[in-house]
Amino acid sequence: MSLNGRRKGPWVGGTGILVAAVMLATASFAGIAGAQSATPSPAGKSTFIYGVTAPNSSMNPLVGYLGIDYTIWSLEYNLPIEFATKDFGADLEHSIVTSVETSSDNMSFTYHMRSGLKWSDGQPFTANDVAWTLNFYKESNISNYSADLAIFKSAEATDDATFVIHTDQPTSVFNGQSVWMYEFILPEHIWSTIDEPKKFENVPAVGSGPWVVTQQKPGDFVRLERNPNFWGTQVGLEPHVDVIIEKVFNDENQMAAALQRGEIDFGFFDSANILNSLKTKPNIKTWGAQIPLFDELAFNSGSAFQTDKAGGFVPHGDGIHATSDPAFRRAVAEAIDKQTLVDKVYGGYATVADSPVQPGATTGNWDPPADQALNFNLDKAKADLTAAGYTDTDGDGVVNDPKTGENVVLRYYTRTSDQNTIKTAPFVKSWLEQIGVGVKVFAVSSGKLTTIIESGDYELFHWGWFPNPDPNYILGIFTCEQRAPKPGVYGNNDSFFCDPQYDQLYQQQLTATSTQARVDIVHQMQQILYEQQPYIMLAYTNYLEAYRTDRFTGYTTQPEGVGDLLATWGPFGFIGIRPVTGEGASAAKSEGIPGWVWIAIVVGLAVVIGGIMLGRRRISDEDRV
Amino acid sequence: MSTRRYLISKVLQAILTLAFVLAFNFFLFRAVGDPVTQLLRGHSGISAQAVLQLQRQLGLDLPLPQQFVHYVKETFEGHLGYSYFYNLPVSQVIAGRIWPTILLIGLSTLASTALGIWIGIRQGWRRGSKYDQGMLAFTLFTYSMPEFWFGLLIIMAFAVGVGPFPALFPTGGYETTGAGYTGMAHVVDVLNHMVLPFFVLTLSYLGEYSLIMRSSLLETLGEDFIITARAKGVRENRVLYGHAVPNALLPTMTVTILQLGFVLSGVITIELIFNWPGLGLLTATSVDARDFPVLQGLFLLFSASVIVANLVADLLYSYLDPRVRAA
Amino acid sequence: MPPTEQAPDREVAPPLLEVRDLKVTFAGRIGLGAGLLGRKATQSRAVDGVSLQLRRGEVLALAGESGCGKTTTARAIMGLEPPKEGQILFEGRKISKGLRAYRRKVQMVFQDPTGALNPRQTIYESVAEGLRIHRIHHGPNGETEQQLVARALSRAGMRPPERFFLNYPHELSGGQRQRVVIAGALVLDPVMLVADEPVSNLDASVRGEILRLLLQIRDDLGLAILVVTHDLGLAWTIADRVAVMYLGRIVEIGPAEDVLTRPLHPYTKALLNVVPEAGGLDRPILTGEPPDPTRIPPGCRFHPRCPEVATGAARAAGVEDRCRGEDLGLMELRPGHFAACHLAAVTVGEGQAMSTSQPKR
Ligand SMILES: Nc1ncnc2c1ncn2[C@@H]1O[C@H](COP(=O)(O)OP(=O)(O)OP(=O)(O)O)[C@@H](O)[C@H]1O
Ligand code: SF4
Ligand SMILES: [Mg+2]
Repeated sequence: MSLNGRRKGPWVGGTGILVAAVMLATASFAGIAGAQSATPSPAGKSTFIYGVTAPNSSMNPLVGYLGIDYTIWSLEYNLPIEFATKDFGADLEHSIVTSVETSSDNMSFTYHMRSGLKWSDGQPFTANDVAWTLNFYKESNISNYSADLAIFKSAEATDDATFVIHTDQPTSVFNGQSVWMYEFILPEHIWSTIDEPKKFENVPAVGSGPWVVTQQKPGDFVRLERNPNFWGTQVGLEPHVDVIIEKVFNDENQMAAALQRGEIDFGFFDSANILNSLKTKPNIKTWGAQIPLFDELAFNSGSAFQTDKAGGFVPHGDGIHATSDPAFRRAVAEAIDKQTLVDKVYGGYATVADSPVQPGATTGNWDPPADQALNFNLDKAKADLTAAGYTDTDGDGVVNDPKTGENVVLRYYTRTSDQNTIKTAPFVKSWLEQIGVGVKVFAVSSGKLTTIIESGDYELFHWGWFPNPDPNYILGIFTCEQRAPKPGVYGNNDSFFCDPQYDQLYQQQLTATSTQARVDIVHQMQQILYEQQPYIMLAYTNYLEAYRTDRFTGYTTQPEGVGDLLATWGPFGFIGIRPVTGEGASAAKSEGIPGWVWIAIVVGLAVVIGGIMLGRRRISDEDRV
Repeated sequence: MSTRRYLISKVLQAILTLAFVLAFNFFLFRAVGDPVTQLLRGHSGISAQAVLQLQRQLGLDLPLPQQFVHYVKETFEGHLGYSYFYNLPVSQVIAGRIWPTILLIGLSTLASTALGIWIGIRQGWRRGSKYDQGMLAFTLFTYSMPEFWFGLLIIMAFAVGVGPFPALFPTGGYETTGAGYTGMAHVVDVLNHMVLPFFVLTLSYLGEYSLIMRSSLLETLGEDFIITARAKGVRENRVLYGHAVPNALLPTMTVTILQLGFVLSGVITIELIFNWPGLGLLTATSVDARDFPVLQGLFLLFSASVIVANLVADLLYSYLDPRVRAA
Repeated sequence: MPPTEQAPDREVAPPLLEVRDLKVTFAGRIGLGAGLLGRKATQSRAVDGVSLQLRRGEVLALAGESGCGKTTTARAIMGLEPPKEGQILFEGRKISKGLRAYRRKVQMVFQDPTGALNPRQTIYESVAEGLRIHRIHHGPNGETEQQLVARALSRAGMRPPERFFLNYPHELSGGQRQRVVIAGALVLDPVMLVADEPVSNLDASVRGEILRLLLQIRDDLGLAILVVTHDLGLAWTIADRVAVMYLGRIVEIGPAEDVLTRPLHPYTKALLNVVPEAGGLDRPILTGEPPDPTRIPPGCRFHPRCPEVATGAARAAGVEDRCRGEDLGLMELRPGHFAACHLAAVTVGEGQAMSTSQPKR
């Protein structure tokens, strides 16, 4: 009976059309994807893509503060004197400055520059630009540069290729024997015309380096293109790559996958596990780079008990008394087995640390002499603790503070964003409990921890620093002035370390008139830090890098043999890399989309549209009930 | 006349809601504390003076009421503040991310509603059939699958390539970085990158729409005017498309638009998983970075779009449904 | 044994509509789970052997309790429910042949006019839809579509019709909506109308109007009308003949006056007991479980609830065993008045009225 057919809908075949359409679309995209799996390079340009796991903070050298920002500026701009790839030393052969003369009073420094330098827009790059930039940084009190320019008074250009730096006090730091000035030199003709330089996006940029930023999508990528006017060709610096792209990933796993697929050529990783998983993949090599980078366990060395008013400091916080006692801190340091942490927590991608000034820093790493070393030894730690008066007077298994009589229990903060801090905690807790020190572990966000530190409401936390090659900056954070003066106000001195003798030495290293004298002072400062242990230096952590071997070659390391493959302190690492050619090079790079894909798309569309029309016709024919 | 009053009341309602959101937005983000300080860790030699300067620059040193007036004024001028993290105007940061999201949400909402409605119609029409039961099971499955999990599976299967699956699609991103395609090639490149996130997002919301459409159609099909139409000899095709579907579409449409808020939250997950540089990813990274001005801007934008979408839904509803027009 | 209704007068012309032994079954509702487990659904015999005839210009009321299958019968007649067995003849031909033409000639009116009108169509569109479906662009005398719609509305009592063209259903009162539904039926110049509870959803105040309208249409246009109702009083008011249904079958049919004043079937008597117009008591005498079309009792399907069985009257008459065991069809016990009751067959034959449950007059 015809009535039975009633519920049989009008669209027989509809699903078929849909499935066909989806399959076709997928197939055509797949075809394109296949065609694109090699990094395409229109017009025969070579493009180097490196991946990072955090977005840049700014393209503007007055504003940004992340390591990856500095990497970009290193490619765009020049420092007065560049870091040598080998050892972070002064590389006058490859700098805009060729020599420096020091006046007899050690307060004026004459810099001789190369001539005929140009900015990427073709304007001449002269000593005026350098002098203007340095004065501008000093006057605008740009935080990135204020430490370097603390005793800088002014700079003047005496001719196109000469500028003179004047200082407030005699010093050696501007004498050109080391890279003191981490100051990117900007083109005056651009920056002097900007009303609010700190709000300047600086994209596209005018620079003097081998590449300049031409485009950015914040949080997605930054694109740099070759500067046609790069002066470095004068001294044999010839880049082999036309375009450099920094690609931002929000997930390291994604970055690892992209590297395997060849979507990127190089990646900076955070997780040792992910790096290890890449180790065995074809055409991929991994590398743990030793660069200035460390992790520490920081004590609250007495925010509540300090009286020194430097920097407007008001005692605050509820940190316990014990951690303000250097003897206590030294005993705790002896209870930490750094080698075990390096092996078990950092997966071997780290080395045991003792001083915030790392081996390979431009000016003087200091190693504790064997008789002063605080080596891991639980018995000695316990004995030293007892000797300092910390004994278990109430018999509950936890030592008591000789001054307050209270149990010594440390609030120990780890950071949820850093797995290493979380993995370290159980080790430290167990060691400290073995010497009778109580530990309560908390895991908080970095932001929350900042607030806790400012308030001085902690005893111990695990964090890290990424210092400059010159020790000035990292040593500066231990000065009294850098403490958070009161809750809610930021201070770099997150251990509240404050020692007048240390502060005096800090000033002296700035004003030492010979490099060797400065090294000696820097050594003394490190010794104080070691003896007092505001930080238990845990490990020099590696920068984790992985790259494809079938794309680019010519990687160098900075410092030599152990460091960063892209030598990101300066442009030289990037200048060295070049595309792999001949055998072993990756499959031919496609120039756009092959014709057959277009044909597939057109045919697919035709089929889909035709199918829909057919479907419609069928609808009207049906259902003559 | 009454139609006009209805429209005016709806518009007023939307404006009021927006005003509330604006105020709420302001106080909410002030309430979470001073974000300046955490930006500064890692800054070389930052001084307390510099901190004050930064606070002044961000207008954080003014009394609260003044900050509010300032904020409202700025918002209306299109200034959404200054990103702590990207160090760019929030409007610029958002503008740079808005198209990928509009593209992804737009296309996938189109696809999931169109497909969902279509499947729902077929299910309702052939209620109880194998097709209906199969689709019910399928859509319930995709609907209940967490997006992040689904997304990861899809990446493993189609982007990284596991077992029999070849690595067909890019693992993420919006375009082939550095390829510099233009014109049609660029469009195809973006589409190629969009396939997987589009697929996951579409499938995740498909079930919702098909279930609503199905039940809405079933209800409509049971109404007497459908029987009347049949009794008069109206062809089945017109019974469905002329009478049943237009009436059943209304509730589905409302839900679709109300759903926008959820789609926005879903897109955060999807964009994060597929590294799709849109507003969702921006939200996720800004939460991580505690970039409150950007979050504030995003919150405002999201709320405003949901409110406007609802307004549009109301207006459309009143246009499409004569019963509402008079109400 | 197929129950048949024999034509009372041996008319040469066939009846307009003839339903022969119509059966409609539904698969009982089962859950998805049971369905997947392959469980068989019980069959619901909603209409279980209905036969009736309708002549031109005649009003036949189909009455009975809720759930007895009235609507299903009506819908089957409209070709909306496929019959499992039996035949529906219209003008002597099976309706399944030439269904389109049939649908033009036979129109339906529903209980709930609100649901029967597409809320998104204007009154004009709703009324004109029938014309458009059947591609009628002009009336027999060259009227335009608009004139046809106007005439139908006006016949249905919507005057002036033009005023309502652009209204939507929700803008009208319930009675007006029912008039629009009727206009939508009339616009096609039908010869038969099937009205399922046409007034039971309306305010008491407008019921009379709509009923009068139906009768007037019958008188003016000579339409045959099948009115489905559960209200015997209403049947009395408008019907020429009345058919009483019980559990999927007609148990009594005959001229309205005759059936309602001198009912033969105990079920009819029980129904009349609560009808004030029939002088009934306010006391329902029907007891027992409501009928369930998935479990139709053997014998006389009314016997579990039959007062004659309960009071022993059936036993006294010696028919109780047959009541319980012998299914039966309609029998013409008076001229043109048929009933399906063993007891009635005996007692009427003896010329005796049933005293126990005969309503007072
Ligand atoms: N589509 C259907 N599917 C299954 N069962 C149905 C369906 N339609 C009706 N029935 C059943 O068939 C029987 C007869 O229903 P019908 O609607 O014909 O009764 P009715 O006499 O019109 O009742 P009422 O006075 O309540 O309208 C009832 O038991 C009902 O549950
Ligand atoms: S046949 Fe028997 S049971 Fe049925 S109605 Fe008549 S008396 Fe009652
Ligand atoms: Mg009914």
